[in-house]
Amino acid sequence: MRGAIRAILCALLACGVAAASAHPLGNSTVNRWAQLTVSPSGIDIDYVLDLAELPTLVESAAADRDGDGETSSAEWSAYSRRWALGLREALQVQVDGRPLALQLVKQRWRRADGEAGLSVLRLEATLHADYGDRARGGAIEFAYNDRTRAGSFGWKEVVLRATDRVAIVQSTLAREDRSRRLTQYPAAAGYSSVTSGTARIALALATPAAASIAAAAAAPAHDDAKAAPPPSPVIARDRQTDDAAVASARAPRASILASYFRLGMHHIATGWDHLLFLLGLLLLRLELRRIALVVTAFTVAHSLTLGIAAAGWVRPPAIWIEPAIALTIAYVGLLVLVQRGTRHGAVLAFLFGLIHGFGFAGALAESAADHALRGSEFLLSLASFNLGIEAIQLAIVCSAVPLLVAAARRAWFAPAARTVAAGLTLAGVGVFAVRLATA
Amino acid sequence: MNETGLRLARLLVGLPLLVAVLATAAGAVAGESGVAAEPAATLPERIERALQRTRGTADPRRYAEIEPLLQEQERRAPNAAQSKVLRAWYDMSLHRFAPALVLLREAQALGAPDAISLGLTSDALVELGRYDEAVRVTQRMLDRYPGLPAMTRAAHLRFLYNDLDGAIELYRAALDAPGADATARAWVHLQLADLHLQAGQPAAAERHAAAARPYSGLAALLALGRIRAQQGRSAEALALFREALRAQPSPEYAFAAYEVAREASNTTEVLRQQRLLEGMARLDGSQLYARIFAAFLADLPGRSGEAVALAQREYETRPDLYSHIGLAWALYRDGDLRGAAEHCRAALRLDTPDPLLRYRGAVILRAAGDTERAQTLQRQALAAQPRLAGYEQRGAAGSVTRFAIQHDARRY
Repeated sequence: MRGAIRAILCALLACGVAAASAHPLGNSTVNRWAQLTVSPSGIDIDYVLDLAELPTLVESAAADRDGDGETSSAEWSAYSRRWALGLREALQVQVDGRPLALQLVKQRWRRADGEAGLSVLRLEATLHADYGDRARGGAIEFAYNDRTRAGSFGWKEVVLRATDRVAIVQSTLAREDRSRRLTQYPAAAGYSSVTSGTARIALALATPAAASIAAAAAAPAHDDAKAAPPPSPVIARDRQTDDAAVASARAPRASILASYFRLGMHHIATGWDHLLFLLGLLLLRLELRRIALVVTAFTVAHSLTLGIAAAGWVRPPAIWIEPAIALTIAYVGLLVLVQRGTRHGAVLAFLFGLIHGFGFAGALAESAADHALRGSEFLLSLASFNLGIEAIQLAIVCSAVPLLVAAARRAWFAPAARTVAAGLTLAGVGVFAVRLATA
Repeated sequence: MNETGLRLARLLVGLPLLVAVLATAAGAVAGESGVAAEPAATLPERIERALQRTRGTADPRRYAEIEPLLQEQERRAPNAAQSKVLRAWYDMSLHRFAPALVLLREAQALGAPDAISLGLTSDALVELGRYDEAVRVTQRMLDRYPGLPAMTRAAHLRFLYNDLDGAIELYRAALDAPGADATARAWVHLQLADLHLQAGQPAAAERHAAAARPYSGLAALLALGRIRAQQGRSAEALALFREALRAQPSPEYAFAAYEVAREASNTTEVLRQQRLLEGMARLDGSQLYARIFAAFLADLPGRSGEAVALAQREYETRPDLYSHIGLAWALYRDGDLRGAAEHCRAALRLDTPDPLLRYRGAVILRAAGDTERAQTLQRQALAAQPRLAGYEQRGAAGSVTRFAIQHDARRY
């Protein structure tokens, strides 16, 4: 009899397990997603923590403050708030090497039925950090590090976005939201495990209205939102306020174009690899007609691939392009050494310009995608970006050529040019090796 | 520059150009086709990685994702030893030790056994309680493939056969085995910590747990928690177990916390951990943690019947010493003294120096009338771990059981 009862109990247990639906990543996972939205005045973090059945069970014990064995809605709300406030310390955001103070904008939680009669928990928080006096237009170096739950298993994703009048020049963080805010985990993708990253951001001038973003706008209020504690240590804004701020943050087209122009200038001015290559081209043959031809060929070629890549038709990965750019420097340096005066400079400039164009495209393509630019808006942004590049390039050529032509009349110029060429070659090879090793 | 020099120079400058063009073209193609830059792994490598990764998640349901990979491997190479070994490894991960052993024997019949198949065979035999055979296979492994995997298996067998000093000596030797990486050495440190703890030497155990911590994370946390519990620092032990639980909600950590809370008579924590274990038991459909849940339920008033069912199932698939004592304890709590004594004697047949195993054995044999042996076992157990005194009276409070019955888990 006892055996029969046991068998029935086991069968019931097994039925319960089989009928329920499991968490897609397994019921012991803790999954996190953060979207960092960079605006001219600060950074907003939209943070989601998705706990499967077992972690929810563990946290329910922590949330049950009165120890009655039951976690009430009020206890979950208090727990959610403690968790969200803890994010201010656990998430590290640095701008130009200095930490930013995060402020909690809003938080909420949602519990749903999971497997085997257990619950799953979803915690969400929106945080904001102002740059303060650290950035008033210009560029910033930005770093993010999530130190929460270091040893836990699960999906870990960080997405970087930019608002209008902000361009992401370079970043180690993804722009694509692969898990759709932890609602659709990519099949057979394993676990994403990104918790930190860096970025270089070009900012337009900040305006007070641009300080807020839409991260919290889509969230419906939670059932026990009334129970939320007083907002004294945080910025408390309701949904309507956020929407209004987003509306007023829309920048005019001229401002967008100006920011792309500045982005282009910034990219070439700080892109020493492109500048070294340009120097090598100039040294190839110091005749004004030839120089004009070479520079034009380089400009046409890199504009071509820049457009192709920015439009998304062909996007060779940076791990190929960056080493290839280094090789172009080495090659031009070597050519100056062994065959100075070559008549094929324009062809060379065109071929290698194609590679450099892909390099230029990285920042533009991503920024354009961030702004969801389409049609004429996209073409204008592309043109602005390219014009920014050409403006700086022209300024450099116009400054350098007279000096080089004057210097070429001196006896010491030839050995000096060879020395520079050798330096270019060595630098190119060295950079190639480093980029290959770190790709 | 003469003609040869010019040609050489052209060659020198031409090659990088060629590489640059090829690299760009290949990059463009790869970018277009979405080919990952990461070097592709072979199918067996992917299966091995998936097995290791899934083991790390402590979620048995994720093994279902490996099944299609294994089927593909078996379709490609149905009679290859490697396919059989991988399938055996998978089976063992799901505690299907007997079929795994058959596959491993088949794999070995196809050619000279490699270190992995011998190691897995040794493991399967230990889990099936066939210790004499395990000794022979492990000795063969030691002779053919001397190294950390063989030495640690041999050390474990020495421990089971009541050679604690010999086991510690062999584990220490394994630490110096050539080719062992930091993670493998950390695992050996954890085994040493456990053995020193069993021997009643918490200071030595702590040294090894500390050495393991940088490389073994949560497992080291569990070891350190057990050491603190033995030192009577139950609050610290609980904090460590809770930390491990938050990172990975495994029944092993919850049960450790539950046991410490019971020992410290911390009713609130007992309730919390009980609630957690009840929830975990609901999700353990494949019953990979049946041993833990049987031990948990056996001491709960009115739940010993469930404990016996779980322990019986565990014993049928994994008839080693620990399943014998687990079943013996459940039967003892359920009032079946005769069956309990029978399994208890089977569990004690190698005189394994595990204090808890000996203490439970003492309690059962005393109840069954074998007073003399019970006294010896109890003396041995308490000499190593005095905190076991009164273990059998701990049980869970009645309120704990009522709590479990009265509340719907969805409210948590």
